[in-house]
Amino acid sequence: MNKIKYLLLILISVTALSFRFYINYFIPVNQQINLLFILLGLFNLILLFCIIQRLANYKIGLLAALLYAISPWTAYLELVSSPYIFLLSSILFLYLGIQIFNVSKGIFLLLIIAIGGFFLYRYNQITVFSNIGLINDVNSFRGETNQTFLSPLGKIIENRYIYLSEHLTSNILKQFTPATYFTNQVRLLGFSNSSPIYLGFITPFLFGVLISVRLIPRKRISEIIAGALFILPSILSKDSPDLSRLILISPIIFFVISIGLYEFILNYRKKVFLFLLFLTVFMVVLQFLITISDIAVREPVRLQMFLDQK
Amino acid sequence: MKRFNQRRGKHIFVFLLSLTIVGGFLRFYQITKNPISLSIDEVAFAYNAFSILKTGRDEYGKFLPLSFKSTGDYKNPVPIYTMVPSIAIFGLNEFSIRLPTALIATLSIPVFFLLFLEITGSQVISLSAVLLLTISPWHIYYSRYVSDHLIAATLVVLGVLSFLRMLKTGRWFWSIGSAIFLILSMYTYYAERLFIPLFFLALFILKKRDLVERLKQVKLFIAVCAVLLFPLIFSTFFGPDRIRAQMTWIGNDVEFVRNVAVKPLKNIPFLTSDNLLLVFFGARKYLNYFDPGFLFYSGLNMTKSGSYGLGVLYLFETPFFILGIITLIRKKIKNKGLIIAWILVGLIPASLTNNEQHPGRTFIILPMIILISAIGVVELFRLIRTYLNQYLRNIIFVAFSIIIIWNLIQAFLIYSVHFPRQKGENFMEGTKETVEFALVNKNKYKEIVFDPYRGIEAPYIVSIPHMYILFYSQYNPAIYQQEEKIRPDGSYGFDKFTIRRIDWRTDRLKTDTLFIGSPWSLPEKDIKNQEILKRVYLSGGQLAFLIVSPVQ
Repeated sequence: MNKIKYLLLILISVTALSFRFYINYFIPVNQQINLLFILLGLFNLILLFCIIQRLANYKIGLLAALLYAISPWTAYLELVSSPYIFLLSSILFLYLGIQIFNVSKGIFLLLIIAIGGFFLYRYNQITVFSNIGLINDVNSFRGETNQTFLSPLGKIIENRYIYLSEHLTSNILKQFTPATYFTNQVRLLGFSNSSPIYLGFITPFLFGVLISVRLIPRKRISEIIAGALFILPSILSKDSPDLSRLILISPIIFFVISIGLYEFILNYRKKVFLFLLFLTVFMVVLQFLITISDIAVREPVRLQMFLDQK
Repeated sequence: MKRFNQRRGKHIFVFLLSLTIVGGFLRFYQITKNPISLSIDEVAFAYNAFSILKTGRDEYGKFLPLSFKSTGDYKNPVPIYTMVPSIAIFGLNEFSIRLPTALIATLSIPVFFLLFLEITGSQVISLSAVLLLTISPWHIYYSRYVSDHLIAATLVVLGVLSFLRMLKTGRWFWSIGSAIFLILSMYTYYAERLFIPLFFLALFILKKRDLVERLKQVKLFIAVCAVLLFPLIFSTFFGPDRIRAQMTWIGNDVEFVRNVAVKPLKNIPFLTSDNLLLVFFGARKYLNYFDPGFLFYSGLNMTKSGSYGLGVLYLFETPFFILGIITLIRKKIKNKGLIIAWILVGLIPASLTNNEQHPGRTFIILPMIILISAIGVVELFRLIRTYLNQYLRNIIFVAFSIIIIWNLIQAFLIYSVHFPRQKGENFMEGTKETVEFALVNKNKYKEIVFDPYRGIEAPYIVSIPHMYILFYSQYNPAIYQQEEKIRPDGSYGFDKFTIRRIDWRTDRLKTDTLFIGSPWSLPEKDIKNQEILKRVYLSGGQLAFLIVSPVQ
């Protein structure tokens, strides 16, 4: 069994590599491919497998690794050498270490906060507070209210603190929009038509969420908090939701999808699950084929249009 | 017990009556002034209704049509015919044409209560839901101007309510009532033409057992539907309504054409063909309606794009809505399947049309969205009562009250201050003023030329000034129907009015002519001061129109 497991993992890794080289062949977003980041991506894939294997079982681990391998989200970000791929590697590595050496989860949480905080500060990633558009909006709204007898109300209701709080709440809620992850609503790298995760995975994802909510033990609460913190960089971005920053929560999403998919496979004898499994596989295969065909035909044109606009 | 129930019933009646009065006030107060002006659709609806009233024919002379060609967008008949009595009583003016929608919206408050009660069987949830409906920004917004979306949704509510009553009581008149309301809704707004069949397919699956028990009534329902549907099916598949469907089809979406299909690209392999990409583009549009920005921040598009406005729900409803969804999934709630199917199916028509998130096209899901929020309200109260002590309850009550009051004041400011100032152009603000000026001074000129292109940032809005002229002059429809409107030079016009683009380089030489246009067609720097008779500004302060007469 072990041999098959590792053989499959190697096969998935080769798939991941081929997918990345294929994209790079048609859309050379960088002049030269950065092999370091491609290797970091492979490292992430293996770490993800190891972590999920320990948390659930190797089959779910393999499914998650496969999702990582064929997802345009991870592939595109590796190809542009996004620093968040490096941050993701660090977090996954740290979490695996904590699992292996059985370190307190509280310490893990603290380390995540420290690393995340350092990263955000070091790379000046908190742009939400310097959003000029927001300040302009407040001024324009206040200006309009001042022209009326409702001016005192405007002073209380329309001030920058209230608008910023609203903006932050909006940013938090935006991270939970399914269209961000399963469609091309937010364009990958600003130009791509590929959805970060294939739409077909939305059903296993929803099913996985239902199962996870029911099954997650209370002792994992610090890990859940740590997981929730990973959306913080995207919330603090001026252009939220930011798919580059949201890559930090991709392992959680892949894990949840894998749980749902695994349940479909386990219960395939029941008609409903067989139908859901068939639907998922059909949709994913179809969209994967469309995506690789689209990458060859239309994505270079989109990239050129994007560069021309810049 | 009987006395207790009677007293309770009386309380509910008084509560509902109070909500209807408050709802009526919110929907009728300054109805002619906010929205600031009549939109293109409103005047087109209104003049056709006026024409029907006076001649029994539409503006093109077609006798009692089931599809109004109007501005080429083939309008549905119900909103126009509902306006006729109102125009007959109050005359052709802003109030008379906005009255039917506002009235239907106000009266829909108790109707919605009956539907909520029929669906959930809970008085508390139903009362909470109508309370939210009364102050709903989505419902108020669409109540205050001629809205085919709102009329259609109300008819659907009546239809589903009658259908559920039919299943419960087995009375035949509910079958007929249900069929009439539902098919009428399909004659009111295009989204319902797809929603009703799909939703009833889902409903037939969900209520299989009940339907078998009431087979006779169901057969009657289907028979009435079939009879009433016949003209609609003909019009949709073989008649002019097909044009409307083609106009709004998702494949014409600018975003799709430009960025997804990247047209005009040639030699496309099958796997990346437009149609396959369109499937996923539609799915994206569908999922995009679950965007919190649309739901809670700016879904109603009442302020300039990119800034904060009003969502289809208030921001304070966020915890209610989330808790409502969780409760709906986790707990046993009567007709849970119906609520979910209503929302999931209700979003399909809007996802198949062009343009981004459209609150009108998705208006059909409003009853169920409100119901989910109400389920959340009741669940939140239950949780607070069960798990929190009095002290914490008081704190939460005060905090929530502050948030709700703040949110309502913000909504009031957006409605009364920012919406008229930021969206005046969308409602063709200024056109009334220019038309009234032209009508008063009509006899002084040989010709009055109106440029249909306007816009503050660019002349990208194609308005229909002729409809505003017809409306405000109450132009005799019998004459208008007969008149030759295409002039020898290809321009459009009637009476002294000509609708065409103004080219000031050549038009400046035409004396005895009044020109009305935006500063794009009448550049101020090229016009002598004495030639400018009037400047018309938007409420936001921007110059919208110049009224000019060349002097030699």
